[in-house]
Amino acid sequence: MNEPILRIEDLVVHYETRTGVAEAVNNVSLEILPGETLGLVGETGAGKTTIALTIMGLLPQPGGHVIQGKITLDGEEITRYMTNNRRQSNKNDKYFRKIRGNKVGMIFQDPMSALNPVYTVGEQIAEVIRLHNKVSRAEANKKAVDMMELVGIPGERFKNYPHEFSGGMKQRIVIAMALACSPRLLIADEPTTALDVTIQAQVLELMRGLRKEFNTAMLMITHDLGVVADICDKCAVIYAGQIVEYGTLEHVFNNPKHPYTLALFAALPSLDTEVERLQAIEGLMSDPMDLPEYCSFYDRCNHRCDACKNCDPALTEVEPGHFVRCLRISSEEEEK
Amino acid sequence: MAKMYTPAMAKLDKKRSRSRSAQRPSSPAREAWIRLKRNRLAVVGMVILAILILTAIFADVIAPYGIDEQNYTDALQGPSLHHLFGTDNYGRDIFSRVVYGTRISLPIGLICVFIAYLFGGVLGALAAFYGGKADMIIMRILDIFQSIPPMLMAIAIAASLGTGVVNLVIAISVSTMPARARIVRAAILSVKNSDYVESARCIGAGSRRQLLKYMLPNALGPILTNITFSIATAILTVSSMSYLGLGIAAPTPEWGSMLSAGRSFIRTAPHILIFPGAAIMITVLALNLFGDGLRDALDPRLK
Repeated sequence: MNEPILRIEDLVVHYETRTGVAEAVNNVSLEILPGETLGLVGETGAGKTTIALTIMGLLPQPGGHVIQGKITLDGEEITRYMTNNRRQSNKNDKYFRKIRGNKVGMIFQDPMSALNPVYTVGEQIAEVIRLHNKVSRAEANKKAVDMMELVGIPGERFKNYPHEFSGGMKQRIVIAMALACSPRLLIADEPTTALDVTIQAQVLELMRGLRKEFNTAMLMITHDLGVVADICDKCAVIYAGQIVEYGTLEHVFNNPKHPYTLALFAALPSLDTEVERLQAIEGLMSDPMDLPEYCSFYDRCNHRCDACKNCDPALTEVEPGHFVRCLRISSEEEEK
Repeated sequence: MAKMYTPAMAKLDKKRSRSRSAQRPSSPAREAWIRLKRNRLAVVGMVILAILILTAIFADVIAPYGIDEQNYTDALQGPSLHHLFGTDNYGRDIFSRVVYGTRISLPIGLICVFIAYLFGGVLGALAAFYGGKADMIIMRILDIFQSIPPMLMAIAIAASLGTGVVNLVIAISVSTMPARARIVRAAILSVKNSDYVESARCIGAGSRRQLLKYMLPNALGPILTNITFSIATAILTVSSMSYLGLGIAAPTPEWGSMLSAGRSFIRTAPHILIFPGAAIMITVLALNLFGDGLRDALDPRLK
């Protein structure tokens, strides 16, 4: 059973705005197998969230467009339903409504505001279940209580409102909602960013446990390499809408190749050596409205050379399953 | 550290032991109600409103005389034990007429606001929800309506349809509708981009569910507040229109038309005007106090 749950091939997403076209996602390809977790790492504005929204069919309208590429979810091509054809839009909408919450669950960054303040948390979990399954209200409520127990919230708090919970507990409830219909894929968009470290560890522990129980594939979007090391099987480093390094956790963490990945690791504080200041990456990410023709990391790269300015490097396989997008690496490979 | 037991905690414990409801989860509506109860002016407004509503319901019991019981021997008398608010030029008891007046002003005010919100609210909600072209078209049409002063429009509609309760309600509802649409539109827009609406989309909720279960309940605060103020305005408009002779015709004890009928006696028998005028004032004041309290209770951050 090695058919991937999610396969993205050569995805390009643009935002068309009044001032220009932002190239948010450029030729991204990735694959998630059942039960596998892929970490998507990158800085703010690198296009991580855009990828997640594209999978959900929720690109901001008007403006967001899938220019090319194919997304296959659980064996079904969903990009077919992303045309901007007006006549199709009702059908597309219907299709995606069936997917959202059912096949794909989503966990948000800020649990504080992701729950509807006027309904009890139990009602909200039961609502997802009732939206996608033909069950009675009582059955849905019972399932909702089970889900709450599963994420470590006592079932008697079914009738409590969101403001009566702490941030960590709310995130648990959001996770319960996302998993209520046993989705094939769980997208977690920076699920721990808004939580403090102890709660973060608890939530990650919970997600790890649930992932096993439900055998759910997971797309973990984060900018925290620690979270990736903690929970992911594979890791994709994304920069300016492009995957610059892609491989298993061991590949990327033990043998990082791309200058950007190296710089990210250099920016982490170390426990062994005492440093006055943390090592930051100089400069800013290129403007997605005005991406250079050459390697988009050129301006900030420590290893740049003149040749870099003349070509746009392609992803090169340095070892089985480990891809790097850098001219130095690809020329080395050629020499071999 | 030893656990401190403060007087405040003792007080709370006592309260809890008295009511079992303390354990109930607190819904946002309940919290707002608790805040509202603590606002003294709002409670005053609520009590006055309750009295007015009871008066309207039990007008038959309260009023000592009928609305058109004429007694020419007692005409133009000042307040006394027989006639609490005195009598008018036909010898009718003003207290009874003011009491029956609650049966006119309160329901008409409510109905006008209800109709204006029904149509204006739906238009405003649709405009906010769909945005873009739909918003543009709906709001521009309402702009045209709104460019005419509401009072002037109400007068024009009432004049062309003729006087009468139904026409008055139509006139006031239509003329205030654009303003109501704006309130609802602004309220929906303020919650439209919140995270919980986004998460509603992510669990596969359709447009109707998003609007009715996620946006509207959360946008209800400013709308409810505005409804109370609108009722006050509607009551004032009804009275003004009646005063001008475009509203409810003379024998009906509408407060505005009572003012109009009594205006020639302002020097000789001012009580004919003072009591219906005071009734209008108290009703509007109570509604405004209640509305103010409601606004503070529904959005504590505003304070």
